[in-house]
Amino acid sequence: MKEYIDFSKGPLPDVGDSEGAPFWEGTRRGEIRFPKCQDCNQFHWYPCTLCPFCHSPNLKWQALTSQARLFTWSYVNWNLPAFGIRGPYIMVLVEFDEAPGLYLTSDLVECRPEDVTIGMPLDVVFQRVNDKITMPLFKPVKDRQS
Amino acid sequence: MTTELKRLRDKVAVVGVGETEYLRDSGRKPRELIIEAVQKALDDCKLAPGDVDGMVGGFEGAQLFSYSDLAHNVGIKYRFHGDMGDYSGGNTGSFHLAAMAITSGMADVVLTYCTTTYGSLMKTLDGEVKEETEEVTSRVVPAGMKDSFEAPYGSNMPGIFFAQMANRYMYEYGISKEQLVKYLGAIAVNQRHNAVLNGKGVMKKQLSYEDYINSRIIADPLRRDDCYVISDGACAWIITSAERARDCPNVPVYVTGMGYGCTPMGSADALTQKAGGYLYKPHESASLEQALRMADITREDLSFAEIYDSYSIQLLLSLESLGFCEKGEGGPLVESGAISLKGSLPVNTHGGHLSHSCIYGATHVVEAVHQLRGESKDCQVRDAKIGMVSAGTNWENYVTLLRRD
Repeated sequence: MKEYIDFSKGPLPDVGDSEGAPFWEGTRRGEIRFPKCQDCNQFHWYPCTLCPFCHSPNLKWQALTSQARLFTWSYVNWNLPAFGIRGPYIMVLVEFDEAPGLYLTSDLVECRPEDVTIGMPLDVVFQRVNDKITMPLFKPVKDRQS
Repeated sequence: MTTELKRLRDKVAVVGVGETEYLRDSGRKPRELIIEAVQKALDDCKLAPGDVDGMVGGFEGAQLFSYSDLAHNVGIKYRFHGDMGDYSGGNTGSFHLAAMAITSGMADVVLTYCTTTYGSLMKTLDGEVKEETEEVTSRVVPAGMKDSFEAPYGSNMPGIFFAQMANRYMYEYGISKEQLVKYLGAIAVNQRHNAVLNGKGVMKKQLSYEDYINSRIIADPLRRDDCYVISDGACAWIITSAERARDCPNVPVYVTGMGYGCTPMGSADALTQKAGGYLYKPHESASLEQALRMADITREDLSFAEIYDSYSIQLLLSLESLGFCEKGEGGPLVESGAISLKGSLPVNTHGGHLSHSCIYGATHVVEAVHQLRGESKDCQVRDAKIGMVSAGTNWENYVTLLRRD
C-alpha cells in the first residue's frame, strides 16, 4: 500500500475513543462511516450522543457510498516544528452528496495545488498506518470532466 | 426582552482601565502581568483595592490567576465574583455580568482582568517554537474530536481553518485570488498603520502593501500579516454605577448597549462544520441587533468599531455578518478606506489583533474607552461618541456598546 503522508511524527487519532471508534472500524474495512439518525434519517458529523436535528437517541453508523467532493481547501507549506508534521500538504474539507452540509477533514493527495478546484469529485484512498489505524485520504477522480 | 434590557442602559460605566506593555516575549508570568494591569486600572480611577468588591474574570483571567489569589496579592475584599472566561468572547461579554452584579446590588465596584502569555510560550511565528506550543494550540482549538479527526491531517494552527474559509469565500462570490489578496492586504495595512500610530502594540514598523504581498504565506491564501501577532500582555478595567462614576476623575464611559447571540453547536464543530454557518455567523448580527435596540441607536450612530480580528479574513467576514455591508461586499468596503481612522466606520483603531497584540479582544475594550475619553492621541477618531466592541467564537458573540456624554 502506498504511503502518501508520513503520519509517524504527528498526532494520531484516538481510535479507541468510544464515540469515534466506529469510524475507525470503518476505515479499516475500507469504508467512510457517519452516524445516521434512524428516526429522521439524517447523517450527522461529528458524532453526537443525540441526533442534533431531531434529538433522537436512535443512531446507527452507516457507510457513505455517494460521491465525495471538495468543499474547500488550503495549501500549507509551513509547519510548527513542535508538531512534526510534514509539509507541504493540502488540507481539505470533503462533502458527500448524500450528507450535504457535513464536512470531513482530510488531506488531498496526488494533486498539485494549481489543479485544485472547489467542487471537484474525489475518490477516497485508505492509508494503513498500523494494525489499528487506517487514515482516509482523498485524491481527484481520474478522467473527470474539466 | 429588549424592553427589559433597556432598564440597564447607561446604568453602569467604565471608570478605569489598565494595561501592561505588549511584547512578543515578556518573560513574565500571568500573575505579574495581571497585577500590573489591575494596579494601573485602580490608579487610573483613583480607587483603592479596598473599593473593589466584585470581580469578573475574562479570558484568560481566573484560569491563570484565581480571584482569591489576586485579591490576596492586591488587597481586595470581594463579595461577588463571576466568570466570563470560557472562550474568546468573554472579555467583551464581561460587561453583561458586571452590569447585572452592580444593578442588582451584588457589588458596587467590579474589576475585570485577563491576560495572555502566548508570546513567552511560543517565541515567534518564524523562529524556534517551544514544546508548550502544542498545549497552546490545543487550547485555541477545542480538544476531543478535533484531536482525532483533524489534527493528524496537519491542522496545527487555526490559520489553516481561516485559509479554508477564504478559499470558500472566493468560490461563493466569484472573487479572484488576486482580488481577495488586495482586500485582505488593505485590512492588514490599515491596522498596521493604526498600530504604529498607537505605539503601544507589538508591531512598530509600517507595513506597505508590497511588504504585505512579500510576507510569507502561512496557509494559502493567508500570509503572515493576515494572522494575529503573538504577544504577552494583560488588561484590566473597573466598572461601577453611573452615579458613582460621575464622582470619579475620568469622563464616565457608559455601557449603553449589550447584546448576545448564540448558535448552539457541537464542541468539535467550530471552524470546520456548517453548524452555525460556515462563513457567516448569524449570532454576530443577532448580538449587534440586540445591543442597538437596547441603546436605541443604529449602525450609523457608531463612531468606531473594535471587532475581533485574529485573521484578516475573519474581520472581513465579520463586517459582512454584522451587517455593515452586504455579504460578499466586504472587500470593496475595506478597499474604499471606510474602515480607516478617517473613514465612515473606523475599525480596530489601535491595530487590533493583527498588529497591536492578541489579548482576546481585551485591548479592543481598553482602546474603546481611550477613544471615548479622547485619549487615543494620533489614532483618535474625531468626535468619538459611541463605540462598539464585538467578540466571540463560532457559536456565540457578544457586542458591547460604550458611549460618553
